[in-house]
Parts: sequence; C-alpha cells; structure tokens
Amino acid sequence: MNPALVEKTKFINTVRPICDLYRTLLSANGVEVPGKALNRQFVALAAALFVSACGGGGGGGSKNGGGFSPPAAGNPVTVSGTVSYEFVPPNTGCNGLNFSATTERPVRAATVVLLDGNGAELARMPSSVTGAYEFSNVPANTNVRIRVLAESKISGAASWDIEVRDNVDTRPGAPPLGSRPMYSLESSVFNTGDSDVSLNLLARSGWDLAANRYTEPRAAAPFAILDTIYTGMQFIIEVDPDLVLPPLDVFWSVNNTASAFDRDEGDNNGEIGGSLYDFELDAMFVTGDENGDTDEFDAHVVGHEWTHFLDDAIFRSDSLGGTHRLGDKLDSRLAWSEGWPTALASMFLGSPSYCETGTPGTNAGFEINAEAGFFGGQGWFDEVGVVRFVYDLWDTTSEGTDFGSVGFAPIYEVMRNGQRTTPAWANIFTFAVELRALVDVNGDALIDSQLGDEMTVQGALLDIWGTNETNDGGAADPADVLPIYIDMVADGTTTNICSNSQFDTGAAKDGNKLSEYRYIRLSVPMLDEYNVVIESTTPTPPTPDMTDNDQSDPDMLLVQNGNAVLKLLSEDENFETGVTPPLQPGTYIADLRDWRYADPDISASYPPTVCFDVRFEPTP
Amino acid sequence: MSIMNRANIAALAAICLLAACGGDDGSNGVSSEAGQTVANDGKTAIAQRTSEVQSPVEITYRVIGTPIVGQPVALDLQFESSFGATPYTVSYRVNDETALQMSAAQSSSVSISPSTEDERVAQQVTVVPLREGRLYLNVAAVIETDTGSIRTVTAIPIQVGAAAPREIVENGTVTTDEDGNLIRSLPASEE
Repeated sequence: MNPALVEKTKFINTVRPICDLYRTLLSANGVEVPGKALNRQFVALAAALFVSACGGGGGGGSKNGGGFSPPAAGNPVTVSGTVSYEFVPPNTGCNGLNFSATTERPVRAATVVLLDGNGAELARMPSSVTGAYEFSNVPANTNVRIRVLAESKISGAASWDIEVRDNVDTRPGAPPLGSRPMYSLESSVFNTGDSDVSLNLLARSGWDLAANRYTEPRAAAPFAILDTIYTGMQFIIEVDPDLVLPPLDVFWSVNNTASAFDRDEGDNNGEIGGSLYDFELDAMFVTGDENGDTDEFDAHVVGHEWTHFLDDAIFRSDSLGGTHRLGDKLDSRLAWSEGWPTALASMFLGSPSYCETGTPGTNAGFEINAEAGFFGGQGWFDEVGVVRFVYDLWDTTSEGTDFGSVGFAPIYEVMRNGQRTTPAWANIFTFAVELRALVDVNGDALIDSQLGDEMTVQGALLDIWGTNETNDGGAADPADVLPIYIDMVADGTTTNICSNSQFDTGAAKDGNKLSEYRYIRLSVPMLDEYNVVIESTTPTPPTPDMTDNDQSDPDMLLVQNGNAVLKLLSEDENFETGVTPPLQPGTYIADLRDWRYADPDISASYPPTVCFDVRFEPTP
Repeated sequence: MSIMNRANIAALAAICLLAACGGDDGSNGVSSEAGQTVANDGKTAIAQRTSEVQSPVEITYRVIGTPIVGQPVALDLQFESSFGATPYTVSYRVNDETALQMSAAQSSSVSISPSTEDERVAQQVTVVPLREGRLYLNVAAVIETDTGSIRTVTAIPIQVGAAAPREIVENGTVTTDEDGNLIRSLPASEE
C-alpha cells in the first residue's frame, strides 16, 4: 500500500478524535459547537506540515514520486474482488475443445495492481488461491483501475518468477524478447465513491459459440497458461518447499502457429512450428493460432513444456530434440526426455490423459493416456512407455501389475540428484537404478513390474548402462542396437561403429531414432589429451546432383557425469577429428552419429547405414 | 575516503569473495555450455529446442484445382503411420454441413493396410464447398493394437475464395506502464 496514502489516512483519523474532543470541551463551556465536517484546507495544511516533519511522504511507494495531494473528501474505502479466467476443456478423446463446457477458474498468485485514473500505480498484491484481491485505505471518490498482470512472482521459502508475454513483433528494432508486451487484464476506470467497492474481473476466452470462432479478445489464454504452471509449482513445492526457480518467460500469441516454422524469424513472426521449450532462451513458446493449433487450454501440453524448463533449471536433459511421433522407436535419451514431462504433467494435473487438441472449432486432436493400453513397440526407446512407467510408479490406482505407489518424493529426489549426475546417458535405465536405491522392497518390486510391462530389463539384471537389455525393438540390424554401449579404451585401438537409420522411416528422416546415435563407454587410462579420429568406412558414391548432400558427416559428443567435455560438430565429409582437453583417468561416455540422417537435404540415394572407424589416441 | 566507506567496501569485497568460492557443478545435463567445440558450423550436439509429440498418423494433403462454391473439389491425401504395417481406419467428417458437404459417392471411412513399414498410402476424397472461407474436413485415423486403440483427428483446411494473406493479428492493445514497460491489455468482463 502507498505509504504516503497510509500516512495521510492516519493523520485524518488522528485529527477526527481531536476535533471531537474539542467540540466536547466547547459544549461543556457553553460555546457554540462547529459542525462535524473537517475544514479541508486546514487539514491539508496541517497534514503537509506533519508529513514533511516526519518524512513519511517522500515518494515511498507512489510511482508518481510521492508528495502529498489534498485527499478526496470521505473516508478511505476498500476495493476488493476476485479475478477469474475461462477455461475450455477438451472433448472426450481429446478430439477438439469443448467450448460449450467452458468453466471459470480463479486466477491464482497473479500480480494485481491498483492504478489511479492517470495510470500511476497505487498498490499491488498477488491474488489469493481463490483469485481474491483487496486494497484497503484507497482514497474515496477517486478514479482508479485494476490491472491484473499475467505474471506470478513469489518470494519466500519457495520462489518463482513467471511472466507471460507476447513474442510476436515483426517491426524493425523490436525490443528484445524479454521486454515484449506482458499480458494484462484490465478493468475500466471507475470511481471509488465513498463506500467499499467490490469488483470481480473475468478473463473471457473470446469464443463465440454461435459463430464457432473467436470474435472477442482472447483474454483467458495467458491466465490459463499461468494457472497450469502454478498448479505444477504447488505439486513440486509439496516435496520441496524451499525450491527456488530461475525466472521463466512464457511466450504466447494468437500469431504463434504450428503450421509453419521459420528457423530464423519464428520468434518474431510466430512461425514457431509448435509449442516448445527453448534451452538457449530459457523460455517456453505456446501456440495460439486459431487457424492451426492452439495449446493454451491443452494443460498437459503446457505442463509438458514447463517440465522441460524444470529439466533445464534443476533436473537434467540429454535430449536430442527433433520430431517424434507416437509409436516411434527413439534414441533412449529422447524417449526419456519426452516421456518424463508428459508423466509429470499428468501427475500434477491429476489426470493421465494428455490432450493435444488441434484447430478450435473442429474435432482435431489426439490423446496419450498413461493408463490406457500400449501403442507401438514397447521398450526403453518408447516415449509412451516412459510415460506409463513413471506415471504408474506414482499413481495409487492398482491395476494388474501396477499394485502400489512410490509417491512423488523419491521420484523428485532422483531427478534432483542421481539422474543429474549419472555417468551414463540419462534415460529410463539410469532413472530406475537411482530410484531403486531410494525405495523399499515393495517399491523395488513395483519398479521391476513396471519395467517388465515396458519390456525393459529389470531386477538384478538392471544397471545404468542397460548392459543386459535384450529388447532390440525388432531391429533388422540388431547389432546396431545392442549392446547399448560399445566399450572402448583410449589407447588408440580402432573400433568400427555403425549409425543405422532403420527406425527413421517417413518422408523425411529426423536423425533421432533408435540406432542412429551410438553410445560409447570410454575408459581413459591416464591423464592426457587424446586425439579423436572418426573415419567413414562405408562407400558413399557421389551423386551427379551437385546440390545433393551425399557424403557422411560424423559428429561426436564426449561427456563425463553430464558435463560436455568435447563437441565435434564440423561439416567435414566422411571424417571428424579433434583433441580433448586433458582427461583424468576414468569413465566417459560419447555418442556418435551421422548427421546426414538429420539433414533435410539428404540425398535420396544415401545408404540407410553408415559405419565409421573410431579411435581415441593418446597424444605424444 | 571515510572510514565507514572503507569498511563498507571491504564488507562488499568479502561478500563477493565468498560468492566466488561457490562453483557451478554443471550437472543440469549436457545442455551446459562446458566443453570445447570443434568447428561448430551451426549444428548442435544437444537439443536447443524441444518439439511437441506428433500423432502417429501423419497426413499430408493437396487440394486439386481451385475450390469453387457448389462444385466438387478433390483432395489428395497421403497417410503414413509410425506403427509400420499395422492396419488403421480412416474416416471423414464434416462438422459444419452448411459450409462443406461430402460428395454423395464419397465413402465416409476406409481401411488402410500398409504393405511395408514405411509405406505412404494415398487416398482421394471429394467434397463440395457450400460457401467461401476457410473450411475444414476432419480426418480421423484409428489404429487398433492388441491392448488398445489410438485415435487422431486432423483438420484439413480448404480455402474457398481468396485467402487473406497471413497478417499479424492484434489481440488487445499495447500500452506502456508508468515505468515504460510494454503491456498488452486485454479487457475484463466486470461483475
């Protein structure tokens, strides 16, 4: 509350009893008693002197620089109310949004600002869990306005800073993303009068049922996104009440479209290709294009992307990124890093049904249900298998082999610690091993039963390397799938390793499927710098088309305990080399890929498998 | 410099020194910037951005000719499933029959049995637009597995008449607060 305003109020409340006493004294002595109304000019002068003497009005919380203005006549009033937003649920089966079933939900922990008629801030506060706000000691008979910012900033034991902004700005010299407009819900200007004011605000979706399209400002969307994240925050801080998260910008726009992707300008023109999390910008982007796909009401989608933020901020992600479809057999790191966020979103939203609805007003959409059946090949490479595995460890619904719950606390503990520092690539194996170490014998049995359900090695055969895994996904070339890690020693010995695109079907390859990245477990025998040499051994005859990308492009990432040590990413054809920094003796991991499988301009005749001789040579 | 100023500066320096003693353990994954990079020509070793999971049946489409109100128009559809050779059923549905109608001879559903793991299957469907604008044909693909089914619906847009060029759409109005911060104001319904 504005300190200057408080001081003025206190002064007035002090003056009144003094005046009452004065009148009593006059009456007792037979002197004509003046009326009860205060002499405004005298009060103003006295107050100014008082405030100046006590230094209570020098610009405190007033954005206008403070000072004292003659108070409006009347006692201060209270302005209060609630802030809500419209939420649109999905149809059954996630086939489109059900605007007929729109409900109202409170806007929780968002910043509510009291402005004067000129837009100067008088006070601010976070809305309550019921969406309530209350400003007391507001000057009577004064024009004011309520602004609700699409932000939640909480500090204390747990703290977070979330802002929802509009990223789209195609003008030259547009401000940086973090300074683009923040969404706000605005009341009209109203006069406080001389009695308390109750004003409830609702952010509408903007949808017109009769017209079957958006016809009004889409005010609800930013607050729907904010509220989903708030729900996630509450779930997390139940097990970690001292959690401090870095700031998060969430960018949503009616112009953010999944129908187009502009690699260079998408952040500015909205052609983002779909909702996503950007690890470089530490920001989420959510689609809002009503002619394509909107995600603001797809709470699981928002929760999924927010979990990527958690992975970036406090957990770990070894994700490769790239396109992934239900049923794909993925690189194990991608399967984990995409399955885990869906599972967490399902947990904190209290529903196993991940809905991705499409164009509003149509039946477009699909569902991933963590409790409903198996889709495609199951295994350690299956994104939906990861969803089921993690969700069933947490849920308390007993069904078949899912006969208990480990609760969220040990899951969170693993993600904060063991999964972060595991020496292997972060995937379902590493998570399961770390979790087994934290739970009791019943928890172990549940983990094993759920791994078994997902056709993944379990029990005594389980280790972080998947050493005893036998599920090769039905590979045509199983030798390029198993063993999961190829053991090498940094002594100059050459090993031939193949990148195989056997699971990367479709019109365009993505380069992120099972067996396209090959994992190496490297033993470094002594402190030294090492030459890394990768040479293709698969003939790739040049094609006549000069624009064809028809030669291999091997890349490698060398890592220890989740920290990158060396990245070899050149565009050299059929060859890659580099020198490591000094490596201490120990175990490292690497991945080897042929980037050509991720190249959108890959030659049509490019072989489905390319092999490389790999060696790590001690330097003289 | 006064003694108080010197003491304050010394205290600040001590605080900074203590803060410098705490290193980054870098254990939030290989998204860390640590590690030498050799000749990074724009490629990345790990994900810069995530992407949403896609439905298992990918549908690409092409409108044949120019849609005209009252006249049949054919759509070439290409289906590709991530479930390999598992059969699936495709069905067509129009939500707004005042805008679009299925051709009388058009089957509302068809079974597709890919012969190979990566076969793209072509289908043609004919509709009749009844008005101008951006109209939608809902195409549902249902894949049955041993233990469950998955249904995905894609809305195929059909532009009838001149398409409005893609323009940046405004939602609310942009103002600035008293600190100069940009605000996109959306009006509230008041009760």
